[in-house]
Amino acid sequence: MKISVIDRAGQAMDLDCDNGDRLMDVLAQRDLVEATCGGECSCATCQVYVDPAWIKRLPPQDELELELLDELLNAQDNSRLACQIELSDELDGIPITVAPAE
Amino acid sequence: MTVEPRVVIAGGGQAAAQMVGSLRSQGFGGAITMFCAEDVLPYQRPPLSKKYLLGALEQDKLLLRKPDYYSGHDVDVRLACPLERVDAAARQVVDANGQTSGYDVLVVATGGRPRRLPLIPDDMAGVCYLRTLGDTNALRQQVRGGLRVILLGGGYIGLELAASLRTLGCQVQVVEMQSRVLERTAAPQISQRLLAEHQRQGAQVRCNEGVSQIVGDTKFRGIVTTQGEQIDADLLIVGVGMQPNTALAEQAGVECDDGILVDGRGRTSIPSIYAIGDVARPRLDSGQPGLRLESVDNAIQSANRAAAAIAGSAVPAQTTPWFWSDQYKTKLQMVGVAPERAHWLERCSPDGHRLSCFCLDDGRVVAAQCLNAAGDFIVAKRLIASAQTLDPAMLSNPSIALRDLVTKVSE
Repeated sequence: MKISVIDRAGQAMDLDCDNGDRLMDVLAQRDLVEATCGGECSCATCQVYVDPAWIKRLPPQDELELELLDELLNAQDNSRLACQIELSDELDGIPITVAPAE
Repeated sequence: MTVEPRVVIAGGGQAAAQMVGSLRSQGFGGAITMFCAEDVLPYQRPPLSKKYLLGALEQDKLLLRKPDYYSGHDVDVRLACPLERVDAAARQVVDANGQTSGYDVLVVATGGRPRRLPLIPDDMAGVCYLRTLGDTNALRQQVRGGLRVILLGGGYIGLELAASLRTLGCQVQVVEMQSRVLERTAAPQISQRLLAEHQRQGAQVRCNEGVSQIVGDTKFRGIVTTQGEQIDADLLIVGVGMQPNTALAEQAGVECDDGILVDGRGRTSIPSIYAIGDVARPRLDSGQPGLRLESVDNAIQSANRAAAAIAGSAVPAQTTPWFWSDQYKTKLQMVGVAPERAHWLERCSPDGHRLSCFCLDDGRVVAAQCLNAAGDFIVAKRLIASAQTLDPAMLSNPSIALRDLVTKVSE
């Protein structure tokens, strides 16, 4: 499967990934996010904007993710932390924009 | 056209992986060879004492980059092949296979090893240390319900292991020489809360106690504490700190003092040699506090700065160091380094669940430690960066949202 990503420099790219990959790992492997804490919801460096048409296909945020997003200056209604998103075939082609670093 | 330098990296941990990624992502086209001591590609260490030990994370999910990253980015990875010698004048290294390689820039990212206590025999069965994937795999083999474990050292490794081992059904005793757990790094209020949680979960924690004797001959059977009490146990895990692996740098003639001394860009006393990650210690005259930081954040930031210097790009500014620890369902996030015996201001939610502690200097927040208060941590980073002066009474009042205290926006 593929996801459609716009990085912090505004560059658009299609990235190959596998069913079951965490979105954060796909982005971190390409140095598109820092992902310092490795997916523990501790650093909030993996914020992305999800295409609003797709956001409902994702499982909702838990309390911790919401609390972090609440305090990020760059957060929008369609913000998610990439560490909380597991990619699956239903998300093939999902458009993602990497949020600016805080 | 100038030829890009050949980079040799000594080490294969978080800092080494970041160096590779940081160089390549900024378009560096020179040769990169990474000499790893372990027989595994760079992986995340923090889960070793937590999710990986608990079996909640598979080994291939620990890898920082998938194997095809290295081949796809023309990185020559040598596994189980640490460097043995450096000839700094000739700019050559010799690896464990006896092979010689030339370099233009050598990056030392050799990390550290667990500190050992002379009292504890090296070859005794039932004695463990935790640093590598191999260490955790060996520990996993031994863990079973009811196993009696003594954790020597109430630091982050000790407490995270205590939580994981209790979860796996072991009987756990933590023995800490200092008067409280995490004494060196955490606010007293944070230590107190974590201690209470560990006790609630059924671990025994003894402070102001050390080991005076190990019981057992070839197999560990227990300890005698400095109070003279014998504790029988099946397993001893020693978590009493880390020693930086400076031997290679020292042999190369690089200046070392509890770590490899570096400037803000990671340059050592020999211009063609850099050091990053746990092994590097910023010099006092580098404009940094001179503290050797053992953290993922430091591995990443120090690698990014050195990589920019090597690639000839703008070196990113220093950021305030931060750390985290997860124990049971308790999340601790810390930013900034407080002076020893600092006074900590407390901000606690009415139900007592969320606790944030702030260390102020002249009215400005210099460090914050947030327990079950992830939002406070994000705001605290901003408060530190903005260096604004704050009213302590407002800061400690949980009915005022922390974000409402941010009046200055940095940068």
